[in-house]
Amino acid sequence: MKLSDLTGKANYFEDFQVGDVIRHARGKTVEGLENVLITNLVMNTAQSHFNEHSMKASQYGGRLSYGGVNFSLCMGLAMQDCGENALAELGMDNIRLQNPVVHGDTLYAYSEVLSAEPSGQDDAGIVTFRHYGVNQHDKQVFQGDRRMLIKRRSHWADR
Amino acid sequence: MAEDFRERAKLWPKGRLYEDFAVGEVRQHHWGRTIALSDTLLFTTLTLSFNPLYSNRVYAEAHGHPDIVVNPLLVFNTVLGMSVEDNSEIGGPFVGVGALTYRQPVYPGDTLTARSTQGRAALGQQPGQRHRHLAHRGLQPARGAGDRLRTLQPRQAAPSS
Repeated sequence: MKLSDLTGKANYFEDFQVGDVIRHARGKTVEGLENVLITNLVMNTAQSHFNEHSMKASQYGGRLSYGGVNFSLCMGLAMQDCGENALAELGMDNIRLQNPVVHGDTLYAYSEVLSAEPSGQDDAGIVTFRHYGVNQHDKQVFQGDRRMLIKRRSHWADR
Repeated sequence: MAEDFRERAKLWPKGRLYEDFAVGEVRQHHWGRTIALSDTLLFTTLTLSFNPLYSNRVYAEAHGHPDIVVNPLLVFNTVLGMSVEDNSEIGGPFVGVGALTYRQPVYPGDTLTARSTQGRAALGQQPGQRHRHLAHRGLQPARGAGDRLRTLQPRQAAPSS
């Protein structure tokens, strides 16, 4: 088995052109499974994310999904297309959480190629994506930039 | 008896208000967290974060890593999570993050701790909003030996008293 058999063939560094916008195929509904589990897993102690009783009378009508979960999920929805052939995630910037997410909301992701540049190594280049997260009401809930070091087809496609 | 204990109880509150933050203050956050293999596999699969470096040890080792790479977003969320009580537990919405750099990979078995340096604080931008925005600069997790793994700038609204 080759390493390249395990990942996509159309998402190497050479495939990303500045200005491309990808609509990712899958959405995911946020429930306690995502919000409460991950919020507790990472020891976020803000009970607005896990105390339904205290949040019932709030303007949100129930638990708020933790923003870190929301944008991790949006970036996750984008990962196969954008970062399946990444050697490393390098950083993030301009993360904006624009609207609340509650249990039952469904998130979809889009990604735009902001830049595609050579890196300090021959076998990979650096792509900066701007990821967007949209809910089932077509309201944007998230925007953020992620830099990834992505394999070049020229060096990795046959390995 | 049942009524009595509630009448005698004193709340031990959690969280801090806007006025409690001083620019430049350094806060070492509580607990620490050893990342288990199961933590990162669960996080990666629940968020559909499909890169085999995060799910396939053979693949990760073939790329020079000693083990599966811990999903960087789990590291981010764990560091931010441990900072919440000191920084934002009774705050308003978590509004963003800037200038996050992943300095080195984290592997299963690594232990993270978190530290914050208080950045600027600014008035909320919405008319009539009682909350004020805080920026925590330089949230620095360590792997136990003091290695700095991440620097990030989360922004958070905190209520004023």
